Amino acid sequence: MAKLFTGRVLATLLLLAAVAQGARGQALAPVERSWYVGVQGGTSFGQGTFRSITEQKVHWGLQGGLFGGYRFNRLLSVELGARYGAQSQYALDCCPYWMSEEEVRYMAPVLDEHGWYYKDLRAATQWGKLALQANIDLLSLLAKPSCRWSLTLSPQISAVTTSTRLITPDREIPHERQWHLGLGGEAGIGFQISQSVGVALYGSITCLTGERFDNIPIHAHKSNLLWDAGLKLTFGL
Amino acid sequence: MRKYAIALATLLLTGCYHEFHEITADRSSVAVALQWEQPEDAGTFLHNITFSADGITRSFDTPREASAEQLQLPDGEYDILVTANMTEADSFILSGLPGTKAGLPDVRVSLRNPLANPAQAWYGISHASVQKGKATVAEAKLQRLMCTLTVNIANVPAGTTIIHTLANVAKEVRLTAQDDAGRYGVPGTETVGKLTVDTYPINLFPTVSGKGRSLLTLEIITAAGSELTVLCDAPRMEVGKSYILELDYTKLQPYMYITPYSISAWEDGWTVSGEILNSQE
Repeated sequence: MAKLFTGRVLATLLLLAAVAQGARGQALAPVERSWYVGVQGGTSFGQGTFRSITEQKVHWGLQGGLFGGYRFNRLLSVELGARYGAQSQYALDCCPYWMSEEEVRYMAPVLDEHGWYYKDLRAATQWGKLALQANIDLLSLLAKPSCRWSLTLSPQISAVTTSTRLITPDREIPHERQWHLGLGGEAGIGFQISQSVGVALYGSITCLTGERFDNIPIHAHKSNLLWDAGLKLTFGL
Repeated sequence: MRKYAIALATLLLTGCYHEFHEITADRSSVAVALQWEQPEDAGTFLHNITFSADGITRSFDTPREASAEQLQLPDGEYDILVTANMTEADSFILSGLPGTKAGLPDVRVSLRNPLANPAQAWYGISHASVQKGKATVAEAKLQRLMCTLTVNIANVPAGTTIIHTLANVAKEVRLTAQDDAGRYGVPGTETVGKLTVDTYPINLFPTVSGKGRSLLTLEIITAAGSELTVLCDAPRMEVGKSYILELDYTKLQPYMYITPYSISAWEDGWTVSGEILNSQE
Protein backbone atom coordinates (compact mmCIF):
# COMPACT_ATOMS: atom_id res chain seq x y z
CA MET A 1 0.00 0.00 0.00
CA ALA A 2 2.82 2.38 0.95
CA LYS A 3 4.72 1.66 -2.23
CA LEU A 4 1.55 2.07 -4.26
CA PHE A 5 0.83 5.44 -2.69
CA THR A 6 4.41 6.65 -3.07
CA GLY A 7 4.39 5.54 -6.68
CA ARG A 8 1.20 7.44 -7.38
CA VAL A 9 2.55 10.59 -5.75
CA LEU A 10 5.73 10.37 -7.81
CA ALA A 11 3.73 9.76 -10.98
CA THR A 12 1.61 12.79 -10.18
CA LEU A 13 4.65 14.96 -9.59
CA LEU A 14 6.17 13.79 -12.88
CA LEU A 15 2.90 14.57 -14.62
CA LEU A 16 2.85 18.00 -13.01
CA ALA A 17 6.43 18.63 -14.08
CA ALA A 18 5.68 17.54 -17.64
CA VAL A 19 2.58 19.69 -17.76
CA ALA A 20 4.50 22.61 -16.29
CA GLN A 21 7.20 22.19 -18.91
CA GLY A 22 4.58 22.07 -21.64
CA ALA A 23 2.72 25.03 -20.27
CA ARG A 24 5.80 27.22 -19.96
CA GLY A 25 5.50 30.37 -21.99
CA GLN A 26 1.74 30.13 -22.36
CA ALA A 27 0.36 33.05 -20.39
CA LEU A 28 -2.92 32.61 -18.53
CA ALA A 29 -5.56 35.26 -18.32
CA PRO A 30 -5.76 37.02 -14.94
CA VAL A 31 -7.90 35.24 -12.35
CA GLU A 32 -11.43 36.57 -12.21
CA ARG A 33 -14.23 36.01 -9.77
CA SER A 34 -15.48 32.57 -10.63
CA TRP A 35 -16.98 29.32 -9.37
CA TYR A 36 -15.09 26.06 -9.43
CA VAL A 37 -15.65 22.40 -8.58
CA GLY A 38 -13.30 19.52 -8.06
CA VAL A 39 -12.52 16.02 -6.89
CA GLN A 40 -9.89 14.97 -4.45
CA GLY A 41 -8.56 11.74 -2.99
CA GLY A 42 -5.64 10.14 -1.24
CA THR A 43 -4.78 8.65 2.09
CA SER A 44 -5.93 9.24 5.65
CA PHE A 45 -4.64 8.57 9.14
CA GLY A 46 -6.26 8.61 12.56
CA GLN A 47 -4.63 9.71 15.78
CA GLY A 48 -6.38 9.04 19.04
CA THR A 49 -5.15 6.78 21.80
CA PHE A 50 -4.63 4.34 18.96
CA ARG A 51 -2.95 5.63 15.81
CA SER A 52 -2.52 4.81 12.16
CA ILE A 53 1.14 5.74 12.32
CA THR A 54 2.87 3.77 15.05
CA GLU A 55 6.49 3.18 15.89
CA GLN A 56 6.26 -0.11 14.04
CA LYS A 57 4.38 0.69 10.87
CA VAL A 58 2.44 3.21 8.81
CA HIS A 59 -1.10 2.00 8.23
CA TRP A 60 -2.41 3.83 5.18
CA GLY A 61 -6.07 4.68 4.91
CA LEU A 62 -8.08 5.88 1.95
CA GLN A 63 -10.21 8.96 1.48
CA GLY A 64 -11.87 10.87 -1.31
CA GLY A 65 -14.45 13.54 -1.95
CA LEU A 66 -15.93 16.37 -3.92
CA PHE A 67 -15.70 20.09 -3.41
CA GLY A 68 -16.83 23.35 -4.90
CA GLY A 69 -15.98 26.94 -4.23
CA TYR A 70 -15.94 30.53 -5.22
CA ARG A 71 -12.74 32.37 -6.08
CA PHE A 72 -12.73 36.07 -5.25
CA ASN A 73 -9.29 36.69 -6.63
CA ARG A 74 -5.92 35.01 -6.89
CA LEU A 75 -5.37 35.37 -3.13
CA LEU A 76 -8.65 34.19 -1.70
CA SER A 77 -11.33 31.62 -2.32
CA VAL A 78 -13.87 29.84 -0.13
CA GLU A 79 -14.71 26.23 -0.54
CA LEU A 80 -17.24 23.69 0.67
CA GLY A 81 -16.30 20.04 0.45
CA ALA A 82 -17.46 16.59 1.47
CA ARG A 83 -14.99 13.79 2.14
CA TYR A 84 -15.32 10.18 3.12
CA GLY A 85 -12.45 8.12 4.46
CA ALA A 86 -11.50 4.98 6.31
CA GLN A 87 -8.44 3.86 8.18
CA SER A 88 -7.36 1.72 11.09
CA GLN A 89 -5.60 2.69 14.29
CA TYR A 90 -3.32 0.55 16.46
CA ALA A 91 -1.67 0.80 19.87
CA LEU A 92 1.64 2.56 20.37
CA ASP A 93 4.51 0.75 22.07
CA CYS A 94 4.07 2.94 25.14
CA CYS A 95 0.62 1.47 25.78
CA PRO A 96 1.14 -2.19 26.67
CA TYR A 97 -2.22 -2.29 28.38
CA TRP A 98 -5.06 -4.78 28.52
CA MET A 99 -8.70 -4.01 27.94
CA SER A 100 -11.54 -5.91 29.56
CA GLU A 101 -14.68 -6.86 27.70
CA GLU A 102 -16.33 -3.93 29.48
CA GLU A 103 -13.72 -1.77 27.72
CA VAL A 104 -11.86 -0.73 30.83
CA ARG A 105 -8.07 -0.34 30.66
CA TYR A 106 -5.86 -2.37 32.98
CA MET A 107 -2.13 -2.87 33.34
CA ALA A 108 -2.50 -6.65 33.26
CA PRO A 109 -5.27 -9.14 32.50
CA VAL A 110 -7.92 -9.32 35.21
CA LEU A 111 -8.48 -12.66 36.87
CA ASP A 112 -11.69 -14.36 35.68
CA GLU A 113 -12.39 -11.68 33.08
CA HIS A 114 -12.17 -11.85 29.32
CA GLY A 115 -10.28 -9.19 27.45
CA TRP A 116 -7.43 -8.44 25.11
CA TYR A 117 -4.03 -6.83 25.11
CA TYR A 118 -3.98 -3.50 23.29
CA LYS A 119 -1.41 -4.88 20.87
CA ASP A 120 -4.00 -7.38 19.63
CA LEU A 121 -6.68 -4.77 18.94
CA ARG A 122 -7.46 -2.69 15.87
CA ALA A 123 -9.77 0.31 15.76
CA ALA A 124 -11.28 0.46 12.27
CA THR A 125 -12.76 3.88 11.59
CA GLN A 126 -14.94 5.22 8.80
CA TRP A 127 -15.52 8.93 8.72
CA GLY A 128 -17.28 11.60 6.76
CA LYS A 129 -16.55 15.30 6.80
CA LEU A 130 -18.42 18.33 5.51
CA ALA A 131 -15.94 21.18 5.58
CA LEU A 132 -15.94 24.87 4.92
CA GLN A 133 -12.56 26.42 4.28
CA ALA A 134 -10.95 29.62 3.12
CA ASN A 135 -8.03 29.17 0.72
CA ILE A 136 -5.28 31.75 0.93
CA ASP A 137 -2.66 31.53 -1.79
CA LEU A 138 0.43 32.92 -0.09
CA LEU A 139 2.51 32.62 -3.25
CA SER A 140 0.23 35.11 -5.00
CA LEU A 141 1.58 37.77 -2.64
CA LEU A 142 5.11 37.21 -3.90
CA ALA A 143 4.93 35.77 -7.40
CA LYS A 144 4.03 37.41 -10.68
CA PRO A 145 0.34 37.30 -11.67
CA SER A 146 1.25 34.97 -14.50
CA CYS A 147 2.75 32.35 -12.17
CA ARG A 148 0.93 29.05 -12.46
CA TRP A 149 2.02 27.76 -9.04
CA SER A 150 0.18 28.29 -5.80
CA LEU A 151 1.02 27.73 -2.14
CA THR A 152 -2.22 27.61 -0.25
CA LEU A 153 -3.05 27.63 3.45
CA SER A 154 -6.66 26.90 4.29
CA PRO A 155 -8.17 27.24 7.76
CA GLN A 156 -11.09 24.87 7.96
CA ILE A 157 -14.18 24.24 10.08
CA SER A 158 -16.11 21.04 9.61
CA ALA A 159 -18.81 18.72 10.79
CA VAL A 160 -17.32 15.25 11.14
CA THR A 161 -18.99 11.94 11.77
CA THR A 162 -16.98 8.89 12.78
CA SER A 163 -17.89 5.26 13.22
CA THR A 164 -15.38 2.88 14.77
CA ARG A 165 -15.43 -0.86 15.14
CA LEU A 166 -13.02 -2.46 17.56
CA ILE A 167 -11.58 -5.59 15.98
CA THR A 168 -10.45 -8.12 18.60
CA PRO A 169 -8.93 -11.54 17.97
CA ASP A 170 -12.28 -13.19 18.63
CA ARG A 171 -14.97 -10.70 17.67
CA GLU A 172 -15.88 -7.24 16.47
CA ILE A 173 -17.22 -4.63 18.86
CA PRO A 174 -19.24 -1.92 17.11
CA HIS A 175 -19.55 1.53 18.63
CA GLU A 176 -22.17 4.17 18.12
CA ARG A 177 -21.65 6.77 15.44
CA GLN A 178 -20.18 9.98 16.79
CA TRP A 179 -20.52 13.57 15.64
CA HIS A 180 -17.74 16.09 16.11
CA LEU A 181 -17.01 19.67 15.38
CA GLY A 182 -13.78 19.67 13.40
CA LEU A 183 -11.26 22.47 13.51
CA GLY A 184 -8.14 22.38 11.43
CA GLY A 185 -6.62 23.33 8.19
CA GLU A 186 -5.10 22.32 4.94
CA ALA A 187 -1.89 23.18 3.13
CA GLY A 188 -1.32 22.57 -0.53
CA ILE A 189 0.97 23.13 -3.46
CA GLY A 190 -0.94 23.62 -6.69
CA PHE A 191 -0.33 24.12 -10.36
CA GLN A 192 -2.73 25.64 -12.86
CA ILE A 193 -2.52 23.39 -15.91
CA SER A 194 -4.80 25.49 -18.06
CA GLN A 195 -7.17 28.38 -17.67
CA SER A 196 -9.79 26.10 -16.13
CA VAL A 197 -7.91 23.05 -14.79
CA GLY A 198 -5.63 22.95 -11.79
CA VAL A 199 -4.07 20.24 -9.66
CA ALA A 200 -2.71 20.35 -6.12
CA LEU A 201 -1.05 18.15 -3.60
CA TYR A 202 -2.40 18.78 -0.14
CA GLY A 203 -2.25 17.69 3.47
CA SER A 204 -4.95 18.33 6.02
CA ILE A 205 -5.43 18.03 9.75
CA THR A 206 -8.77 17.94 11.54
CA CYS A 207 -8.88 18.27 15.31
CA LEU A 208 -12.05 16.64 16.60
CA THR A 209 -13.96 17.95 19.55
CA GLY A 210 -16.10 15.70 21.74
CA GLU A 211 -15.52 12.04 22.38
CA ARG A 212 -12.40 10.19 21.31
CA PHE A 213 -13.20 8.78 17.89
CA ASP A 214 -11.20 5.57 18.36
CA ASN A 215 -13.31 4.52 21.38
CA ILE A 216 -10.24 3.28 23.24
CA PRO A 217 -10.30 4.04 26.99
CA ILE A 218 -8.89 7.52 27.48
CA HIS A 219 -5.50 7.49 29.16
CA ALA A 220 -2.36 9.55 28.76
CA HIS A 221 -2.77 10.40 25.09
CA LYS A 222 -4.84 13.47 24.41
CA SER A 223 -5.01 13.72 20.64
CA ASN A 224 -8.22 13.23 18.69
CA LEU A 225 -7.17 13.96 15.13
CA LEU A 226 -7.74 12.95 11.55
CA TRP A 227 -5.05 13.52 8.97
CA ASP A 228 -5.51 13.24 5.26
CA ALA A 229 -3.39 13.95 2.24
CA GLY A 230 -3.72 13.53 -1.50
CA LEU A 231 -4.40 15.15 -4.80
CA LYS A 232 -7.02 17.73 -5.74
CA LEU A 233 -8.18 18.31 -9.28
CA THR A 234 -10.02 21.60 -9.80
CA PHE A 235 -12.20 22.67 -12.73
CA GLY A 236 -13.14 26.29 -13.24
CA LEU A 237 -16.73 27.03 -14.30
CA MET B 1 17.13 20.35 7.26
CA ARG B 2 15.62 17.18 5.87
CA LYS B 3 16.31 15.21 9.04
CA TYR B 4 14.73 17.94 11.17
CA ALA B 5 11.64 17.82 8.95
CA ILE B 6 11.43 14.04 9.31
CA ALA B 7 11.94 14.29 13.06
CA LEU B 8 9.21 16.92 13.33
CA ALA B 9 6.82 14.86 11.23
CA THR B 10 7.54 11.77 13.32
CA LEU B 11 6.98 13.72 16.51
CA LEU B 12 3.69 15.09 15.24
CA LEU B 13 2.38 11.82 13.96
CA THR B 14 3.53 9.36 16.61
CA GLY B 15 4.29 11.65 19.52
CA CYS B 16 2.76 10.97 22.91
CA TYR B 17 0.87 13.87 24.42
CA HIS B 18 1.24 13.00 28.05
CA GLU B 19 -0.38 14.17 31.18
CA PHE B 20 0.84 11.05 32.84
CA HIS B 21 2.14 7.91 31.30
CA GLU B 22 3.36 4.91 33.23
CA ILE B 23 5.75 3.89 30.51
CA THR B 24 8.59 6.34 30.15
CA ALA B 25 12.19 5.87 29.16
CA ASP B 26 13.55 6.35 32.66
CA ARG B 27 11.10 4.23 34.63
CA SER B 28 10.53 0.55 34.90
CA SER B 29 7.50 -1.24 36.16
CA VAL B 30 5.80 -4.57 36.42
CA ALA B 31 2.15 -5.53 36.51
CA VAL B 32 1.02 -8.92 37.74
CA ALA B 33 -1.44 -11.05 35.78
CA LEU B 34 -3.15 -13.45 38.16
CA GLN B 35 -4.11 -16.89 36.96
CA TRP B 36 -5.63 -19.90 38.66
CA GLU B 37 -3.48 -22.96 38.91
CA GLN B 38 -6.62 -25.04 39.28
CA PRO B 39 -9.21 -24.00 36.69
CA GLU B 40 -12.05 -25.09 38.97
CA ASP B 41 -11.15 -22.20 41.28
CA ALA B 42 -12.29 -19.74 38.60
CA GLY B 43 -14.91 -17.36 39.86
CA THR B 44 -13.89 -17.63 43.50
CA PHE B 45 -14.16 -14.34 45.35
CA LEU B 46 -10.72 -12.96 46.08
CA HIS B 47 -9.95 -10.21 48.53
CA ASN B 48 -6.88 -8.91 50.28
CA ILE B 49 -4.55 -9.59 47.37
CA THR B 50 -0.95 -8.66 48.11
CA PHE B 51 2.11 -8.31 45.87
CA SER B 52 5.50 -8.35 47.62
CA ALA B 53 8.89 -7.71 46.04
CA ASP B 54 12.03 -5.75 46.74
CA GLY B 55 11.00 -4.89 50.28
CA ILE B 56 7.64 -3.50 49.14
CA THR B 57 4.21 -4.96 49.81
CA ARG B 58 1.08 -3.61 48.18
CA SER B 59 -2.44 -4.74 48.96
CA PHE B 60 -5.57 -4.67 46.85
CA ASP B 61 -9.20 -5.42 47.61
CA THR B 62 -10.15 -6.96 44.27
CA PRO B 63 -8.51 -8.56 41.24
CA ARG B 64 -9.50 -5.51 39.18
CA GLU B 65 -7.64 -3.22 41.57
CA ALA B 66 -4.65 -5.53 41.42
CA SER B 67 -4.62 -5.49 37.62
CA ALA B 68 -4.94 -1.72 37.48
CA GLU B 69 -1.67 -1.11 39.28
CA GLN B 70 2.00 -1.57 38.59
CA LEU B 71 4.93 -2.03 40.93
CA GLN B 72 7.61 0.56 40.22
CA LEU B 73 10.89 -1.29 40.57
CA PRO B 74 14.46 -0.63 39.52
CA ASP B 75 15.83 -2.72 36.66
CA GLY B 76 16.55 -6.28 37.63
CA GLU B 77 15.27 -9.77 38.19
CA TYR B 78 12.52 -10.19 40.76
CA ASP B 79 10.48 -12.91 42.36
CA ILE B 80 7.13 -11.46 43.31
CA LEU B 81 5.15 -13.15 46.06
CA VAL B 82 1.40 -13.00 45.63
CA THR B 83 -1.03 -13.91 48.39
CA ALA B 84 -4.81 -13.80 48.39
CA ASN B 85 -7.43 -14.20 51.09
CA MET B 86 -4.82 -14.61 53.85
CA THR B 87 -6.36 -12.23 56.34
CA GLU B 88 -6.00 -12.08 60.09
CA ALA B 89 -9.78 -12.22 60.32
CA ASP B 90 -9.55 -15.68 58.79
CA SER B 91 -6.92 -16.66 61.38
CA PHE B 92 -3.94 -16.37 59.01
CA ILE B 93 -0.68 -14.94 60.33
CA LEU B 94 1.94 -13.95 57.77
CA SER B 95 5.51 -13.38 58.86
CA GLY B 96 8.57 -12.26 56.95
CA LEU B 97 6.98 -9.41 55.01
CA PRO B 98 7.71 -6.96 53.52
CA GLY B 99 11.23 -8.38 53.51
CA THR B 100 14.23 -6.57 52.13
CA LYS B 101 15.72 -5.67 48.79
CA ALA B 102 17.99 -8.68 49.07
CA GLY B 103 15.55 -10.97 47.30
CA LEU B 104 12.58 -13.12 48.11
CA PRO B 105 12.21 -13.18 51.91
CA ASP B 106 11.40 -16.30 53.93
CA VAL B 107 7.65 -15.75 54.22
CA ARG B 108 5.74 -18.09 56.46
CA VAL B 109 2.05 -18.44 57.07
CA SER B 110 0.46 -20.00 60.10
CA LEU B 111 -3.01 -20.18 61.62
CA ARG B 112 -3.82 -18.53 64.92
CA ASN B 113 -6.23 -21.40 65.47
CA PRO B 114 -5.21 -24.53 63.55
CA LEU B 115 -8.86 -25.64 63.58
CA ALA B 116 -10.20 -22.29 62.39
CA ASN B 117 -11.21 -23.99 59.16
CA PRO B 118 -10.75 -20.85 57.08
CA ALA B 119 -11.92 -20.55 53.53
CA GLN B 120 -9.30 -21.45 50.96
CA ALA B 121 -6.38 -19.05 50.50
CA TRP B 122 -3.95 -18.76 47.59
CA TYR B 123 -0.36 -17.80 46.95
CA GLY B 124 2.05 -17.77 44.05
CA ILE B 125 5.49 -16.70 43.02
CA SER B 126 6.02 -14.87 39.75
CA HIS B 127 9.38 -14.16 38.23
CA ALA B 128 9.80 -10.84 36.41
CA SER B 129 12.65 -9.36 34.38
CA VAL B 130 12.17 -5.65 34.83
CA GLN B 131 13.82 -3.41 32.23
CA LYS B 132 14.08 0.35 32.15
CA GLY B 133 11.53 2.00 29.90
CA LYS B 134 9.60 -1.21 29.47
CA ALA B 135 6.35 -2.35 31.04
CA THR B 136 6.55 -5.96 32.13
CA VAL B 137 3.59 -8.21 32.80
CA ALA B 138 4.44 -11.09 35.09
CA GLU B 139 2.10 -14.06 35.29
CA ALA B 140 1.41 -15.47 38.73
CA LYS B 141 -0.36 -18.78 39.12
CA LEU B 142 -2.43 -18.88 42.28
CA GLN B 143 -1.84 -22.11 44.17
CA ARG B 144 -4.17 -23.35 46.87
CA LEU B 145 -2.68 -23.20 50.33
CA MET B 146 -5.02 -25.25 52.47
CA CYS B 147 -5.55 -28.98 52.38
CA THR B 148 -9.13 -30.11 52.53
CA LEU B 149 -9.87 -33.30 54.42
CA THR B 150 -13.17 -35.17 54.42
CA VAL B 151 -13.79 -38.34 56.43
CA ASN B 152 -17.06 -40.18 55.98
CA ILE B 153 -17.91 -43.22 58.10
CA ALA B 154 -20.90 -45.23 56.94
CA ASN B 155 -23.14 -47.47 59.01
CA VAL B 156 -22.40 -45.87 62.37
CA PRO B 157 -24.90 -47.23 64.90
CA ALA B 158 -27.14 -44.78 66.66
CA GLY B 159 -25.77 -43.55 69.95
CA THR B 160 -22.14 -44.10 68.93
CA THR B 161 -19.67 -41.30 69.53
CA ILE B 162 -16.52 -41.01 67.41
CA ILE B 163 -13.79 -38.54 68.30
CA HIS B 164 -11.42 -37.74 65.39
CA THR B 165 -7.88 -36.77 66.32
CA LEU B 166 -5.38 -35.77 63.66
CA ALA B 167 -1.63 -35.70 64.17
CA ASN B 168 1.35 -34.49 62.13
CA VAL B 169 -0.33 -31.32 60.88
CA ALA B 170 2.22 -28.59 60.14
CA LYS B 171 2.23 -25.43 62.21
CA GLU B 172 3.21 -23.27 59.24
CA VAL B 173 3.87 -23.27 55.51
CA ARG B 174 6.94 -21.57 54.05
CA LEU B 175 5.47 -19.88 50.99
CA THR B 176 8.77 -18.86 49.40
CA ALA B 177 10.61 -22.14 49.95
CA GLN B 178 10.76 -24.70 47.15
CA ASP B 179 10.43 -28.45 47.44
CA ASP B 180 12.63 -30.91 45.58
CA ALA B 181 10.51 -30.49 42.44
CA GLY B 182 10.95 -26.72 42.53
CA ARG B 183 7.40 -26.05 43.62
CA TYR B 184 6.90 -23.17 46.03
CA GLY B 185 5.21 -23.84 49.35
CA VAL B 186 6.85 -26.21 51.80
CA PRO B 187 5.31 -27.26 55.12
CA GLY B 188 7.33 -26.43 58.21
CA THR B 189 8.85 -29.12 60.42
CA GLU B 190 6.95 -28.23 63.57
CA THR B 191 3.50 -29.68 64.24
CA VAL B 192 0.58 -28.04 65.97
CA GLY B 193 0.06 -31.09 68.15
CA LYS B 194 -3.00 -33.29 68.05
CA LEU B 195 -6.11 -31.72 66.59
CA THR B 196 -9.58 -32.87 67.48
CA VAL B 197 -11.68 -32.48 64.38
CA ASP B 198 -15.44 -32.33 64.73
CA THR B 199 -16.53 -31.21 61.30
CA TYR B 200 -15.81 -32.23 57.72
CA PRO B 201 -14.75 -31.15 55.22
CA ILE B 202 -12.15 -29.13 57.03
CA ASN B 203 -9.39 -26.91 55.67
CA LEU B 204 -6.11 -27.69 57.39
CA PHE B 205 -2.43 -27.16 56.94
CA PRO B 206 -0.51 -30.02 55.29
CA THR B 207 1.48 -32.73 56.96
CA VAL B 208 4.77 -31.53 58.45
CA SER B 209 7.96 -31.92 56.49
CA GLY B 210 9.94 -34.94 57.60
CA LYS B 211 6.91 -37.09 58.37
CA GLY B 212 5.87 -39.62 55.80
CA ARG B 213 2.31 -40.17 56.99
CA SER B 214 -0.75 -38.43 58.34
CA LEU B 215 -2.23 -40.04 61.42
CA LEU B 216 -5.95 -40.02 62.15
CA THR B 217 -7.11 -41.62 65.38
CA LEU B 218 -10.77 -42.55 65.87
CA GLU B 219 -11.83 -43.02 69.50
CA ILE B 220 -15.15 -44.85 69.40
CA ILE B 221 -17.54 -44.99 72.32
CA THR B 222 -20.47 -47.24 71.63
CA ALA B 223 -23.98 -46.70 72.91
CA ALA B 224 -23.30 -49.44 75.44
CA GLY B 225 -20.25 -47.54 76.71
CA SER B 226 -17.47 -49.75 75.34
CA GLU B 227 -14.44 -48.04 73.84
CA LEU B 228 -12.39 -48.80 70.74
CA THR B 229 -9.50 -46.94 69.23
CA VAL B 230 -8.80 -47.04 65.49
CA LEU B 231 -5.59 -45.66 64.01
CA CYS B 232 -5.80 -44.67 60.36
CA ASP B 233 -2.26 -44.50 58.99
CA ALA B 234 -2.80 -42.30 55.96
CA PRO B 235 -0.59 -40.74 53.29
CA ARG B 236 0.83 -37.26 53.70
CA MET B 237 -1.41 -34.29 53.05
CA GLU B 238 0.30 -31.96 50.62
CA VAL B 239 -0.15 -28.23 50.21
CA GLY B 240 -3.36 -27.32 48.41
CA LYS B 241 -4.70 -30.83 47.84
CA SER B 242 -8.00 -32.40 48.87
CA TYR B 243 -8.39 -35.80 50.48
CA ILE B 244 -11.43 -37.90 51.12
CA LEU B 245 -11.51 -41.01 53.30
CA GLU B 246 -14.54 -43.29 53.09
CA LEU B 247 -14.83 -45.84 55.92
CA ASP B 248 -17.38 -48.45 56.86
CA TYR B 249 -17.98 -48.69 60.61
CA THR B 250 -18.56 -52.42 60.36
CA LYS B 251 -15.10 -52.93 58.86
CA LEU B 252 -13.09 -50.79 61.23
CA GLN B 253 -9.89 -52.35 62.55
CA PRO B 254 -7.63 -51.12 65.35
CA TYR B 255 -5.00 -50.28 62.76
CA MET B 256 -5.73 -49.47 59.17
CA TYR B 257 -3.17 -48.65 56.54
CA ILE B 258 -4.57 -46.16 54.07
CA THR B 259 -3.38 -45.85 50.49
CA PRO B 260 -4.29 -43.13 48.01
CA TYR B 261 -5.98 -43.26 44.65
CA SER B 262 -6.29 -40.29 42.39
CA ILE B 263 -9.67 -38.66 41.82
CA SER B 264 -8.24 -35.66 40.01
CA ALA B 265 -4.94 -33.84 39.83
CA TRP B 266 -5.75 -32.06 43.07
CA GLU B 267 -7.91 -34.60 44.87
CA ASP B 268 -7.02 -38.01 46.24
CA GLY B 269 -9.28 -40.64 47.62
CA TRP B 270 -7.99 -42.64 50.54
CA THR B 271 -8.83 -46.28 50.89
CA VAL B 272 -8.02 -48.99 53.36
CA SER B 273 -5.47 -51.38 51.98
CA GLY B 274 -5.50 -53.80 54.90
CA GLU B 275 -4.29 -54.27 58.39
CA ILE B 276 -0.59 -54.18 59.10
CA LEU B 277 0.20 -55.65 62.45
CA ASN B 278 3.60 -54.09 63.02
CA SER B 279 2.90 -50.56 61.94
CA GLN B 280 5.59 -47.97 61.52
CA GLU B 281 4.75 -44.28 61.57
